[in-house]
Amino acid sequence: MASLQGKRTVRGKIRPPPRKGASEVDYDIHWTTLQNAITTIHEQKAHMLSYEEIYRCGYNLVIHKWGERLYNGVKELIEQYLESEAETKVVPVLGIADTSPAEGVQVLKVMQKLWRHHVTCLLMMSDILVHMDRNYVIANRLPKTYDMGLFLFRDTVIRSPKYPIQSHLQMVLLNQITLERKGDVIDRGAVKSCTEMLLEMNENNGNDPIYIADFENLFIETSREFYRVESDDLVRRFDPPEYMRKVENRLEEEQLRCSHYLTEKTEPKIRLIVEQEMIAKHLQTVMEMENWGLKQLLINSRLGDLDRMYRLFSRVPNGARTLQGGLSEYIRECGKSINANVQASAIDTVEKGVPLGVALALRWVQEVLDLKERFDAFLAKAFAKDKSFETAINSAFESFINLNPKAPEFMSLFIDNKLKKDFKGKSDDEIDTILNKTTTLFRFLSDKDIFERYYKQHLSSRLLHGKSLSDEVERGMISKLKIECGYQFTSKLEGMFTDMRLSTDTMSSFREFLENAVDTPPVELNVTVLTSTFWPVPSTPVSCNLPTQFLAASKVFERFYTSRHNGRKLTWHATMGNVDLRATFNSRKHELNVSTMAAIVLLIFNDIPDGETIPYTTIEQETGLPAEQLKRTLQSVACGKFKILIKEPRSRDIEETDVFKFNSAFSEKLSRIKIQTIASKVETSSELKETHEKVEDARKHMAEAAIVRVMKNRKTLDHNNLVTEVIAQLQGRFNPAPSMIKKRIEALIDREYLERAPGDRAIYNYLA
Amino acid sequence: MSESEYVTLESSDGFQFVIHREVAMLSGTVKNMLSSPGHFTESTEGVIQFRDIKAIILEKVCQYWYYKARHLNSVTEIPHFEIEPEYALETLMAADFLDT
Repeated sequence: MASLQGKRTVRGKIRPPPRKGASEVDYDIHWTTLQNAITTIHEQKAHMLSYEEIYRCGYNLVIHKWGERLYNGVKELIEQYLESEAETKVVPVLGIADTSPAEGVQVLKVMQKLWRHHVTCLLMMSDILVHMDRNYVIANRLPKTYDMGLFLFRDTVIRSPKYPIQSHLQMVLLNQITLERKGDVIDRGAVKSCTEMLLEMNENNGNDPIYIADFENLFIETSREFYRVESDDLVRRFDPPEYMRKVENRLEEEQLRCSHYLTEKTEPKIRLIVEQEMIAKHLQTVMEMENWGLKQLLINSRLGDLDRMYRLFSRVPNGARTLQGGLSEYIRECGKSINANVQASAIDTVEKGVPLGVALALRWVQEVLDLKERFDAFLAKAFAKDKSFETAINSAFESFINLNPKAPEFMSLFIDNKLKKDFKGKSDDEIDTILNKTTTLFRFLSDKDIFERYYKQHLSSRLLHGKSLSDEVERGMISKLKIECGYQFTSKLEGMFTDMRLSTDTMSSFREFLENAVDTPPVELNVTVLTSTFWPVPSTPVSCNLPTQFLAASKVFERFYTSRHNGRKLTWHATMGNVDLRATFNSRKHELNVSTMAAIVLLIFNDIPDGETIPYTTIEQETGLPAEQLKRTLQSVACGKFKILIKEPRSRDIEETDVFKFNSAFSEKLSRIKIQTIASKVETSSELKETHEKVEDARKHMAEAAIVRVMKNRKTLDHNNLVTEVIAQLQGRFNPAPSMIKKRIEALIDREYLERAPGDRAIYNYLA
Repeated sequence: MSESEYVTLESSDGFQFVIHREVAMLSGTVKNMLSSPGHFTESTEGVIQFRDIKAIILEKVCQYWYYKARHLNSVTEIPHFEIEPEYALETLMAADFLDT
């Protein structure tokens, strides 16, 4: 608009412009000019017109208040034009679409041409009628010439009440898409220009393109139907991997379709349809398919297909969960068969009276580890390290591992075996990976306290018998456990190491002491002093009658030790030690390293002439060893690899009627022979029962301690909260049953640590 | 057709003003005239006839366009643009017509 700067107040006359009469005649003149101009524009001859002239007509009409007549006149003119065009150009080709779906594209092309032309004309008209648009139209809140023209196209051509243009257009578009879905090549350009046209026209509210009502809704509906039929068909015809490949292709196709000739806004909608129809509805079917369902894919490690399954399933709600369910089920199944294998052979061996072999434990752990490794690979390569999948896999492992009541023992045995034998000659890295894997399995254990008990037993035997390959690796394992379960869990294990170190120091000072002592022990003595609370030793030592030389030696040490550490009580666990004996056989002398118990037994044969036999009962009397230990010892010296004694009659097992004699004809290449007592093995049922009782006992203490800790802190607490807190505290060690905690609470009430609050029996008070 | 740098404006009383095309385009109406997709005669011939504007007014208008072009992005103080009072109203009407 005119922005005339700094108009000064100037005195003088302002001449009024010559007024022009606004008469009916003037309207007619101007309107006729405009009418002709618009027709010329429609005929594509605009270059013959003078803009100034037409603009002036429009301008004059508006400033003379004929805006309304002008606007309606233009509207009517465009409408008439469109109607005649639709009738003469579009209607004749509609029939083609009816007869041949492929040729339907003709309709699109005609529509397209008409639309393009119309838009160009509209732009020109807008330019001419710019004054009307800026004044009359805005003042009356009408759509501008251009928009009005679009509405007219929508209402007189697309949604023509006279001709079935709309339905044909839709039919053609949908047919074209269906043809393409079935593999035909279509004229994407034609479809694209039509969808663009529909996108350009708006509904009356001015926000939504008519694309939505006139095309998209229908498209979504027909697509749903298409994919419903297709997926039913494909699922029946193809195996899951092939089906999933097809689904993936479809998803990609639809996405490309949207970006090529529909609109990005349709993409999420159609994607949802494909996902619902092709994935969500067939989750179970695809996963549980006999041929190449999830199970087969897992068994055959088809990473690519599993990955595809993961990606597709994750697209739909519940999909990931269903897949996780399938995975868990498979893991549990595998776990069950691993457990069953072990149990079957366990029953087998128990029936024969043979204690369960270490091999069994090793096999179990190895199988579990292998399974875990496979699933770790799946997780990394097929499931994108998805956290929720990791959780599902882990909990499945947890559940089946804990189904095996011997799991803690087996794991400890496994580590025992590794630390004793398998790590020989392996690099630090290899050792570390194995230990790490075992630690992950350990994490799944719910009865960590039972594991601790076994681990302590195995560790103590490794330490006392010097069977451990490397102190460093032992400590490494313990620090891993410490990371998993905290300081408390490993403090006793670490205490065992400290005892070993202290004993070495004690022994060197004991030797110094002996140099100056008056009475030297008749045999060389090496003592390991153990703190009784750290080590899994019985509170009363196994009874035995030590030979006099042994007794004398122990007395010397006792004297030395009490002189240094006043007030400490030493209990001799003679049966846990070992002895070096020099034995003379017919051919040569051998140095024998045997357990103390075996030494006691062998020394008896010193007192009798060669060749004479001693019956079992006499040995039992002389040594004073309990039958079980004695039998094991005799087995090791008479039935093992090195037969120092000869048993009559010859057999694998020791009977009370057996007699023994010294095997003076014994001969072996090596001069030093180590005779192993029968190695640590899976427990016998009575031992098992004992262990369980001990574990139960320990658990009672832990539970009581936890209850007291919580109550000391809270002073007053109701039953449910107390139980939850106690369970939270204990979960790291084992899974306590609420009923067990309840019993412990009652026990504590009996012992007056707690009392029930007067008035409310569900609330406890702490009694200091 | 190569676009000329100038356009010719013709007043209702037959006077011709040859001015820069760019300057004339400061008028919305002229701009439409010359750039509409319709390629109206004005744009092909480079001559615009104003049948309702007299030379004296059109001259004023041209002066104003040059004045505006010069000061369009000026940061210094802009001098006054003089309009004789007797032509003020007609100039105003022409300005409205030309969308200036």
